[in-house]
Amino acid sequence: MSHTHDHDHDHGHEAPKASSERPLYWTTLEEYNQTPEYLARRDEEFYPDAKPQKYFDALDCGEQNPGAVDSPMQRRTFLKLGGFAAVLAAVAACERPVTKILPYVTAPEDLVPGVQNYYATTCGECAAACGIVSTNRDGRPIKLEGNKSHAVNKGSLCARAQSSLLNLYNPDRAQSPMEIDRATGKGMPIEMAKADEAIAAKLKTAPGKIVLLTPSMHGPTRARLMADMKKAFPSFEHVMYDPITTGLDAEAYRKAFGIAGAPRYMFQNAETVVLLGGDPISQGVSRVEYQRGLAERRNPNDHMSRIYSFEPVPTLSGAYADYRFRVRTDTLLFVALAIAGELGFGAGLPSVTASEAETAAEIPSGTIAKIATRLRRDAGKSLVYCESSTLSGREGRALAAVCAWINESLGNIGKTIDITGSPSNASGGSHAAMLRLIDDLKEGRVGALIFHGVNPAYTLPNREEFATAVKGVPYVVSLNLKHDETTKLANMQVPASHWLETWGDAEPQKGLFSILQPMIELPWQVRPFEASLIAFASAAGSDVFVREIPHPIDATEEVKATPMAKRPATMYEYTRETWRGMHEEYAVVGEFEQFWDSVLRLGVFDRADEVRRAALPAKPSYRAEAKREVDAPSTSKNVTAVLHPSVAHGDGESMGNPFLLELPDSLTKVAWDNYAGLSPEMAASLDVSEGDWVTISADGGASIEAPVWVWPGVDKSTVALMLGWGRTAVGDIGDGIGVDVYPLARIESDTVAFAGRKVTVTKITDGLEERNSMRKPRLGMTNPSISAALEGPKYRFANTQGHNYLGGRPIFFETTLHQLNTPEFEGHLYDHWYNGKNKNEFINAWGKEHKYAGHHWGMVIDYNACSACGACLVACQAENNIPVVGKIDIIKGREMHWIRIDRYYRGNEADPDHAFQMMLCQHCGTAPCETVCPVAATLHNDEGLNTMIYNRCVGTRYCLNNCPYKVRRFNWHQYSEFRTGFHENQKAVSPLELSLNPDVTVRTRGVMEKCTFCVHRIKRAKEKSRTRGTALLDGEMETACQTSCPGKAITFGDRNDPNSKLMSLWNDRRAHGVLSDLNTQPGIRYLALVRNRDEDVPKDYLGLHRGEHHGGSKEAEGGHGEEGDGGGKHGEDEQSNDHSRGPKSRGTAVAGQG
Amino acid sequence: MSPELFPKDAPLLSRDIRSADVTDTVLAPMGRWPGVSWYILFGIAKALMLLLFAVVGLQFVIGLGIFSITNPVGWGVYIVNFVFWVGIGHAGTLISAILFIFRQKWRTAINRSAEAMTIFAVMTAGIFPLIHVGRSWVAYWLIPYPAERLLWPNFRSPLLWDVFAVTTYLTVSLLFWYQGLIPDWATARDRAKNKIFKTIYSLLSFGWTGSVRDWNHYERGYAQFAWISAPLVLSVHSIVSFDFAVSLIPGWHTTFFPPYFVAGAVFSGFAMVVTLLVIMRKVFQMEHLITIRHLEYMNKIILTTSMLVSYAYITEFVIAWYSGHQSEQYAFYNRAFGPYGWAFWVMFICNAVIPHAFWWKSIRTSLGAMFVISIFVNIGMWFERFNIVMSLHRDFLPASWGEYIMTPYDYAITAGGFGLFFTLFLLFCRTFPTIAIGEMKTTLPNPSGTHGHGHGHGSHHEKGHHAPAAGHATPAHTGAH
Repeated sequence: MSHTHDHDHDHGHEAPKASSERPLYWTTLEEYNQTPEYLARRDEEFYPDAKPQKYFDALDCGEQNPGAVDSPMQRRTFLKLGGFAAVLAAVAACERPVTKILPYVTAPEDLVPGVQNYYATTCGECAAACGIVSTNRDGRPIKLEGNKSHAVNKGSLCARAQSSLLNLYNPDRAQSPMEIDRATGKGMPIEMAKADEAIAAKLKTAPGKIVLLTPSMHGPTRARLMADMKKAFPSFEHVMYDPITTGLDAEAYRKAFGIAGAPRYMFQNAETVVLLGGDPISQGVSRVEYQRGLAERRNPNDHMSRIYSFEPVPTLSGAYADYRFRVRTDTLLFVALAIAGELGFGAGLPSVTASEAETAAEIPSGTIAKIATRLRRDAGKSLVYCESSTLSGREGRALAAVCAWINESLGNIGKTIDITGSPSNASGGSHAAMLRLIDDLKEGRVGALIFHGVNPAYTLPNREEFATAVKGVPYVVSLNLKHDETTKLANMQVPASHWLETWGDAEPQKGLFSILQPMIELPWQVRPFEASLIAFASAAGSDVFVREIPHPIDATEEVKATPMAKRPATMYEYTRETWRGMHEEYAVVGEFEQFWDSVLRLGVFDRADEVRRAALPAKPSYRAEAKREVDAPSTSKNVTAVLHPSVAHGDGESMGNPFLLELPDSLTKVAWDNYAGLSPEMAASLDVSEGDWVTISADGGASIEAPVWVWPGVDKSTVALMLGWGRTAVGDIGDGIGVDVYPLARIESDTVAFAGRKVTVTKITDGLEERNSMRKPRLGMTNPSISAALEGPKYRFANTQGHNYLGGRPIFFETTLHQLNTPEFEGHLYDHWYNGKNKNEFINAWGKEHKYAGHHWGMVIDYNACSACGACLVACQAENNIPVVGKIDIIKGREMHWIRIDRYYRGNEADPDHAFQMMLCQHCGTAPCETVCPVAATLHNDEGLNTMIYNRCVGTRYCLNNCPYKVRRFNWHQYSEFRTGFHENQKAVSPLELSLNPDVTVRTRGVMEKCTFCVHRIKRAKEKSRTRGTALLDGEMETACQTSCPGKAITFGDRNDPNSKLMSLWNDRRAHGVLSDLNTQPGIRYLALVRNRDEDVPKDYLGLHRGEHHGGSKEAEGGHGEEGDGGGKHGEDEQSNDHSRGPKSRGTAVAGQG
Repeated sequence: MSPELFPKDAPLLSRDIRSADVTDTVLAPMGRWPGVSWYILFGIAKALMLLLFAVVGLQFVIGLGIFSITNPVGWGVYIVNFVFWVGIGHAGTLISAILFIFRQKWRTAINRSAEAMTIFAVMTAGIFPLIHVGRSWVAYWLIPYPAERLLWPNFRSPLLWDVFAVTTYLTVSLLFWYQGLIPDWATARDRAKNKIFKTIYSLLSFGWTGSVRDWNHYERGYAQFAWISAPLVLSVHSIVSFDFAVSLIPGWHTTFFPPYFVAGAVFSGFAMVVTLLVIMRKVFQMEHLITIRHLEYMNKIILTTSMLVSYAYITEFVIAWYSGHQSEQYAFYNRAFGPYGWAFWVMFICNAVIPHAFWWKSIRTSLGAMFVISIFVNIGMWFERFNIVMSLHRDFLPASWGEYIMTPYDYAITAGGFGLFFTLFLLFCRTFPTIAIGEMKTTLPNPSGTHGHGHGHGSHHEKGHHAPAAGHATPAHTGAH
């Protein structure tokens, strides 16, 4: 080609060319000479204007041929058209794969595709029975929210309830009845009807009583069902057993007042709270209710309560308390008795002086006196609380008795503790009943055992004894949801439905009735356990549950004359019958149908206020009885184990729920594992550190092995072990994760004791690699470096936070109530933190602030109301389709949670204060992420939201790098496909995908995501207000995290509305932005933590000095940053650095480390 | 002719070299089959390059998750490699453009290979940002093209400036390089005996005749390109530095990054040129053309730029201390003494300590010493970028701090980058005139082969010196004269 060019260049224009009229190539002389004859002939053949030769010239030489200029088809044009045609042809050949959807033949009532419906029901995750409003889309529940009309939770929900949709859609659920070989535990599917017949035949001929074993349950329909079952099977007996709720405090109050229910604690009325080993926030029977109550009294501008906590293992309540004392479990009774003595209520009880208790518990002297003074002042407005799953056995019983005694003496009954009006029904079960049942089983008194919702073969320390006893029972039926450990011991399993598939009701507190409605019915051979009982009874020939089917209204006379067909009642019918009875009993005005509709709509029928009565006097015999319960306390220096449940995992029933497994424990920030939590002192004395293995062996021979987590705040002679892990038959996700610690519990008198067992802890030095590689997480894609680390001598925990100390940074601000009210600190606290410069002010190079015309969204988070329970985190995950990434990716630092709860320690390493900071996208007014995105995929909208356009995102991750809060999350893999944690096959496991929220985009691999302030909810709220024709009301728009928060720590609202609740908090003197000195203008403000302490506060609380405490420990590094040789040193260095600059340097609240 | 920065009394090349020798030497590798050592080197380089492609393929199938990048370190070795290779790419244009403008004749021995190195380095560099994005298949969205949805990229983002800067730099460097090649292709064409090669070289040489007109155009064009390229040398790495400087991350948010990056780029670029030339002059017997003096000059520049970057390192720490901002102070404390402190000290020793050996003439003229030192500099400069990117691992909120654990894949793409670069460079060595023949002859002490005065005879003679390049093996003057 270039030769041709050369040729043209060299010769083309020099050689005399033929006239432009003359063609280069020609066939005839006529053509060459362009004779008129030729032209005429040519024009006949071609268009008159067509100049064929030029056309070819043009093709050949393009524009270089001057004669070709006016040609209709130039070479380039030809190429363009040709290329375009080729592309079109190629594109037309491409076809998207055709997928078909099936429309409804008959659409369900009230179902508009794409429009959400809301139905009220009741949470069945625990006995607290919170009210729930389920958001349903296209016939499936996609999100659970609290029912605001429900007195127990008032719209909030805990993490466990938020995650329960994944229990519903869990593919590991048993999906059809099974006939089980009791020798091997293996099941063979069997038809439901055949199973019913087989079971009924056995029940009819049961050689002994028929026992139904369930966890605590309540509600009029269930009560009626139990009564009816008794009619059907006269030997029927219902036993309730909660693995970790000992019910000892309920027992104490029952004894004291002769009541039937259990005390209901009303923390909202208490100005002084003493938690004696009690943890209402994560272990209380009604956690959400208690947490709300506590938080209601934490407003420093109003009456702020004071909370004292004595506990061996850090709990959320202890971290939330104003004073936390880490003590051995066996010294709690010392403290309780000393408080009683100091208050003058000690008569008849073993005498413990304040100093004895203080010495035993190793707490500062004067503590007991101070607490007593405070309690005396707040008599009738105080609460001494010891309800705890960890306190059990004889000691727990004694403690419960003393606490009840103190509360009764202080006149708290009826004020902060409701036992007479509307007491709780939530702790009806007891260990004693379970232990009696085992005796019955062993004695052969039980002819048939039916169980539902319990798993004693896992949750009992004497599980072998239980299993042997069960083997002796002629017939065992499991109505559990899964083919779990206990089900393997049964003859037959008829899987129960999830509570979201069930009709029924609950009565969490006396007079408060809560309805259960089914939200969905998964296409499995499962049935509500109540319906199974009805089916068994009916198949056994009982007519208690048999109902006639009425003839249709339009039936002919002939048909109507025939006898009505009969069949067992459905749960719907049975529940309605109960409520028909209640309609009469409570003399509700109006027709039953109206009442029924209103109950279904509201979800609750609240008569609690009407049943309230005056407080009962204590039974005369109570004090004498109580005295018998209480032995003189003793303490030892033995190392003891404390088995504690966590807010997420409880007794282990929902182990295997991916959301909960991935939820990092707020205190240790470890996900996907439990561990032997050792105090730094014990770790040092054993010469172990994080990831080492220890053997924990108890007196009686029980022994477990667990990896070590060095946990500041654990008592120095206590080993903390989290319950609920180490399941063996819970399904693909949950099996084999963590360490089963139940064997370390012990039977003591008639309870199971979870604390106080003497143990020996020894370091394991051999076979570490084998242990670690055995416990490697199962998943597909791994980082080979991490894989190697997982098999190394140290066990790798998936902890989401590597650093525990602030290192003197002005990030978390706290003060004390005392300090806050000193005249010296008047005005906005920021002025003190930043030496008079209010960093909330906007600094703008352009001289003017951007005005937001319509809404300007903002959020305020109140540290005082936040207990770090994690409900917001899981609510956000459920709402926003946030995937579960699994343990390996968390180790890599790739958790996808849009909210994280940062936990910092303050004070000394062994026994620090906790500071929790909920961290999410701050929706900065001048967002650093926005300017750096090359494709403008993250933008500020006109309502102040920092928006993320997933479609536009290319995935440069520059925004992530430039975000000072590091709240952006990148989809390193196609996480959406294994949202469920099923890493092995890396794809969604049906039907878990049904839990996805269609309002929120499911993000693909390679894009960035982050908190959106629930922009889809904003849109919906605005649409609603537009339809209504009025402005959006303050508080109408709530984010998912806000709705769920039990403490109501989160307030969302419009910054353009000066009267909004948000703005009143926005300008609170405690309000500040995090890192607002970077001028990011965060759209979230935090209210500084105020601890209610007496002490003259060190100035560093208000940041006037930085890092005075030098005696502190070296910075403890978490799981990350292992290999750093210098990482641990910066603390000291920086501190000395700070020191040299003296007190006039800028402030910080939380000093680095002690 | 403008005065030389370096002493001119001694000629760069031996007086015995005839211009025919230059042509022979330079074109020799193009006309024979390579030796075993070349095949071995090429095999290694190509294997590494294929490794890069394989890992990138794996990444496209599985996702970025296979790499070590994570939260908070969103950029890992990808960007380290990108900045490293862009930096390497600096020396070429600096040598060809800026030294040309300053009439540094000694550049002629090295400018061709340095420019080739530039182009290959920038090509290698360009791969990394492309593959580091989460969705490489839509990476073209960074280009401002009139999309049907009227979406434009964000012109405020330094990454976009990168796209412009790097593509401009690559285009200009490529054209500049190619223009310099045209007379040499013509020489190759005229000496080629094989028909196929003759055709290929004819195409490549664009019909170069060696006429005065040709040379006139060539000289003018070359000078123009030199002047266009010169500011690019400064702008490219300045803009690359904005990727960091424009952010607010401690350790990144630094105003002096542009000059610091340019100095570092020149530093690393020269070191890479030295590394390559020490081998190349040996393998292709070009010792008489690329002399120790050429290399010594380069080493002097390495020494100078080493001190520039050392100054920058120290300044960063001083400014961090002076800022009074905890995060800033901690970032630098952590850089030196944190988990990745070792990387800092590798960098510091390689870049700020070892090059001082060049104060001694015996060392800066010793081939072995300069080879070793240049490799140290390359290592040090890689770690400089590693250090900067690693600032991410501990920024503002201690709770969000994390770690960065390199995976085999990270090592693979890093090695693969070198593989790609050396594959291209080794191919270049065998198929291109590796020294600018025409220009080289202008520096011959005795261009015509007669023992005349080759130097400083004014522009008239200068033209003549080019003449042999026009395809005549003999030093006879051509019609162009």
